[in-house]
Amino acid sequence: MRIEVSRSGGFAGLVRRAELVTDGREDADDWLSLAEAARPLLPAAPDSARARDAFVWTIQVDDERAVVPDGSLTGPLRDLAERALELGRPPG
Amino acid sequence: MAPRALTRCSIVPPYLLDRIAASADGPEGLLAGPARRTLATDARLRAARPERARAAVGPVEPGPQRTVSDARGTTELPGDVVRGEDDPPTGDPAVDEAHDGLGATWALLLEAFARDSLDGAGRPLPATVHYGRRYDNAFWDGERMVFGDGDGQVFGRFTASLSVIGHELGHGVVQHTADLPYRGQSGALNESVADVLGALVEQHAAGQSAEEATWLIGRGLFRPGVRGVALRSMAAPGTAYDDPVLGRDPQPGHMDGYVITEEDDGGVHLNSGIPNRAFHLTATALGGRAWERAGRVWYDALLDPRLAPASGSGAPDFARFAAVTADAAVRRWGAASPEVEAVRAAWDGVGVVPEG
Repeated sequence: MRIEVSRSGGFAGLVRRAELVTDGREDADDWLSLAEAARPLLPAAPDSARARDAFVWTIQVDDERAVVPDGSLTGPLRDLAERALELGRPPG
Repeated sequence: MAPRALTRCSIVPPYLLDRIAASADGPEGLLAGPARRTLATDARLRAARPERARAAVGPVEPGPQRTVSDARGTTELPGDVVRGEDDPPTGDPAVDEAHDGLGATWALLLEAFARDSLDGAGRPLPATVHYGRRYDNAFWDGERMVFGDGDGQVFGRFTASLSVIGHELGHGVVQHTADLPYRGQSGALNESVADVLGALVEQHAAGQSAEEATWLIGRGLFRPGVRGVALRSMAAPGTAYDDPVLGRDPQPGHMDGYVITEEDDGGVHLNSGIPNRAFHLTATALGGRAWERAGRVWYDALLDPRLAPASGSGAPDFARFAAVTADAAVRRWGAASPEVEAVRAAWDGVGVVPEG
């Protein structure tokens, strides 16, 4: 499984990206079950359309992709996104 | 192929927190100036308070109504109220900086534009600090300002810069006026107006002229060791930082460098550099206190019906905003005034042709 995450926007306008391939990782099973819990990759809560300077997350798991405002990113999908950003490698 | 478009925007290199070594030096040196300035504003606001109390039966003396809450490291809003309008300082810098910054913003709006709070009708000013853990952001949630503490390595707490507090409240002013849609050029205008108000709050609190001002947004947020002075430079977009880890400030200051991207709501924090520089050019051409003329033009523009959500002519772009600011200058100072000349030259200087 391949996971790609970017967190853009925010006051600073800085983009952070990370990608991670679970195949061959010691913690591959943890990632697979986390991704299972996070599916479907949809925001759990509606976002405030009035939010400004909020982060915007783009999360791609294999062929599935979601663009989620920070205020709507909750539960397992948030765990997945934050852990992938922290533990993944910068692309390229 | 759609997902690949995401990574097309390669102007901001990867951002790795871990590679920055935390320094033992605190950011106090950078913060000392803003802190002093907001204290002075606070003293002025406090002095006005007894009159408001006495005026309970008559016309109410305007004053800010600030409430600062503490999310205590969670992402639950609003959090616990820790300081109300009449409470003394708490000793928590984030709480007290937020309180003082809200006051400084309120003072600019009233003293420069005769506007009582964000809506012009004394709307309360709520803020939440200590949002999330190592949270590298400050935002306006449509209702209140929210501040993270920063990760401690690249970013310190986001209340440390008065321009950031003014910026977030600037979004509140925009929401109550032109409500510029947060996407593409109108989104970049929304961001730019917030930066303009953030810069003006800082200059007004410090009593600075356009010549004396730093024109930096977010000065004092970076931890020691980061190669940069601030997050954005209105005077010279693209020069605020150039760091091995953060990369280089990606803002353009001219239409030649306009960035097309899907991320960041269509580059709202990138292309805002173009109207930011137009404001700086206007303010420095006119000289003196930026809120009196350049700021007044931009504020008048926000109230123009051609920018209003109900104008029926779509989301405003740079060209329309340029035309509206030029017209605002004509209305207030006359067609042959230096103000009009400064506004027109500024938009020309950033490559924006006003809508005809």
